Amino acid sequence: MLRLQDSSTQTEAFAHIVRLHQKRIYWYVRRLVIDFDDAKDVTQNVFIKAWENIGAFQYRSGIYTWLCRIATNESLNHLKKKCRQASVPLEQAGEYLAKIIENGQYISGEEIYLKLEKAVARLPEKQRIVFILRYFEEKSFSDISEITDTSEGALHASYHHAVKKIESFLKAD
Amino acid sequence: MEKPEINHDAPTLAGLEKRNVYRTPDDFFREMESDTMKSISAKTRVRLVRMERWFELSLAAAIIAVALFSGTRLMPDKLNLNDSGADSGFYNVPGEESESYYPLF
Repeated sequence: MLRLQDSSTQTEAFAHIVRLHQKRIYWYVRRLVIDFDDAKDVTQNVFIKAWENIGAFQYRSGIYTWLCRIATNESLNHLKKKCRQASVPLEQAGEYLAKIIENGQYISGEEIYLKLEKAVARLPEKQRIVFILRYFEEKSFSDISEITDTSEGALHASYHHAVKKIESFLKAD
Repeated sequence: MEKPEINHDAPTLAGLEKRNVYRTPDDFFREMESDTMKSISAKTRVRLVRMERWFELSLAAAIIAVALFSGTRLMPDKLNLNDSGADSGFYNVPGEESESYYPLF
């Protein structure tokens, strides 16, 4: 932390942060935006944004939680832009993402796991974020609350609804 | 991490392992790290160059302002077009007490 605050060691300290957190941030972003190329661009933007705003980082939360918050916002903004460019209404973003899972580059696995990813892609935005952070990233509701700026009570409810929707999707033929 | 809410509400989901269906090419993360740091260095350079230009422009503006201000303070007489110019002898206006300006012979 001290090395980040000192301008003479800031760049080196930040390079260490990139090395430490890049993979996890990438996989989180990938789950949100699905597409391989998009995830790479968004992840790089996350770290560039973090670097530009390093002075605003208050050191109250951990660095990774802060990066997740930036990653969430960058991913959602990217998806909105993609939908606009593809003339896809935002309400149909889930279907758009599910199609990428079916046909996209660097995506493969057993059918049930692809089905799970499509189920997650089709969730409403808030439920999707909470589910990914809780189920895949294994974050506590307290951390998710800080990342999403949502109360823990609301997050519990979102997660509960998300789990039920995914379960019914997995059971369907 | 235990997830009792999944076991209870979603047995199918609870029965699945955590598997990643997303893939990346080899060396992907090393290349991405390198690209990210290059982008950050480039942005830092651009920001420093912009700061330097703003500083130079501000300095030039300050010098011009000082020069203009000094100029108006040093040359008030030359800039004033009123009778005080005649009194100071700048305009050689013949008065009644002076000899005729145009000699007759």
